[in-house]
Amino acid sequence: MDVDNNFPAAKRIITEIQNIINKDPKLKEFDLIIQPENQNKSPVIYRDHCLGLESWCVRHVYKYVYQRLITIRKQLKRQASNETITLLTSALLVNPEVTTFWNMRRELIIDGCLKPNDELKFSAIVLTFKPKCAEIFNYRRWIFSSISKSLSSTDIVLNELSVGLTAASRYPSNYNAWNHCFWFVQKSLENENFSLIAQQWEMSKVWCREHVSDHSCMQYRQRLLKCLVADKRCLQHLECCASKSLLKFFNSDERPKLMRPSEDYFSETIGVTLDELYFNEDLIVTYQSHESLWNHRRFLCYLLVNIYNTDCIKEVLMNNEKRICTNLLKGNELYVKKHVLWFQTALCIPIKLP
Amino acid sequence: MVKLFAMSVLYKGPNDATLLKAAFELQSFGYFQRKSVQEFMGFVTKTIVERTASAARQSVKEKEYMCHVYVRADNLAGVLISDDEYPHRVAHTLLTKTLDEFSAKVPSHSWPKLNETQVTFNELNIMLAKYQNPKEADAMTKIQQDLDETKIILHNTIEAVLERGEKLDDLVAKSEGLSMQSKAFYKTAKKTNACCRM
Repeated sequence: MDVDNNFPAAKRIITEIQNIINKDPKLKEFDLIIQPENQNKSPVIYRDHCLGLESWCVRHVYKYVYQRLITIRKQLKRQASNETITLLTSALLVNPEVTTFWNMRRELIIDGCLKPNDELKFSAIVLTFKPKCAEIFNYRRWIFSSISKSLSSTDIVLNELSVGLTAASRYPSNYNAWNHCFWFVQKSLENENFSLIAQQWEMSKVWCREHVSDHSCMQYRQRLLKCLVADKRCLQHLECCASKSLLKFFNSDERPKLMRPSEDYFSETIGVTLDELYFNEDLIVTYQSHESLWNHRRFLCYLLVNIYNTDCIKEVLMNNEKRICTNLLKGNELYVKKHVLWFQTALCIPIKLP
Repeated sequence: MVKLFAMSVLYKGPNDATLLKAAFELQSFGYFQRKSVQEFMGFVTKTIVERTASAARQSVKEKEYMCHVYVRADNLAGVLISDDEYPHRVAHTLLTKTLDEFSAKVPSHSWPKLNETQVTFNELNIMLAKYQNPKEADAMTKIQQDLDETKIILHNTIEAVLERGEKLDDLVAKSEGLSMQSKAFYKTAKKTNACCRM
């Protein structure tokens, strides 16, 4: 085979990588190391549970594994072998965006050649190199939904959420990671586990404060909020100062108009939304000029008006937004004007700026 | 991210700047990148201080990073490298406070003769950790009010700070503080036009 002749070291390199992965259950990272020249030593670097591959050999190694794998895939009789696993490991570490290779691994799981738990570990390592890669997240969800149906265990779900969070921290506005997290929240809601959503609501709040331009995290919160508002059982685990926000938002004349004693659930849901509205205001004041924060605010206002469609709410909201827009006009002119315009056109609420 | 990556104190001599103390927080970078990232931040820090006049403040944006510099009239200089989400005003307040504390701890006559190994100023690490949350800076409102934001010179790239005829590529190639690997890292990052993702 002429591939082999081009780069005879490829086989040795990929075996070395596979051995490290088999040997070290605590392996946590994979990365390419920039090294344009062959240093006449092994390009596989392994230190402190981190695995690195020098960049000069990547194209040769990838070319070798790719061609071998395609040959194997074309064979009518597919035989699972250790060679296939070794080839797939290196191919996916370097380029995890090839669905065919993941599918080959799926088949190996079904045949019992790979263990689902090991695969979760392996794909988590690949994720440290390409934190936004959708194929990796798909693969993980596939393992959960078709192989191990053990989603009722809280530990597994929490671990999965932390994998998603790590990926989100490594790539800004990582929609795929947050989407992955939400999938598990949804699954746990289906299993009637309502404490998880409350925990995620608190966690993502802290995270949002540290990543104020991450619109994917805010969208995650929007999806959580929609669940919280829609189902009373989600709210019971929530620890929030909703009643304080209510007092702050409505003055004493307005409150009785809005709520009747039978509707304390109603006041709770509106309280959560108002809580978030005040949190968002706090961020807008501290961190100026981030469009993601204003977009999030628009969602919150939209939710308020559409769920609680009363004149009272509209009026109070109008006064509240007027206060904020007036205070923030200096320095945020562009965003404030857009906000006002949106209020007028989407909600038919006029805000008069001084 | 709202994040502080590096904070340094330097002395700006007539020809070049000497590092007196530096603190880093680079856990958000990959294991194999940290060394190069740290070398680079050190390189940028020194380069920018040498190109900032006495009694001046500058803020330089480079992709998603911000580099804030303050050189005092007595040539003590502070540099803060942060993410561009970190509020600029707080960053400059923090620089003022750091340099005040440093000069209270280390007498000014010794600055020109010191180098990094001779200085003990562990407060820098503590401050870097504490002010990761800019809300902590609320206590420094007095300094914040005195800060005249209009005097901070803003630049949109590092190149804009360099003197006429200078090129970043040449400075990187000539630098002694950067290892071969970091120089290769710079070239690759520049080619892919994304600083820390490959």
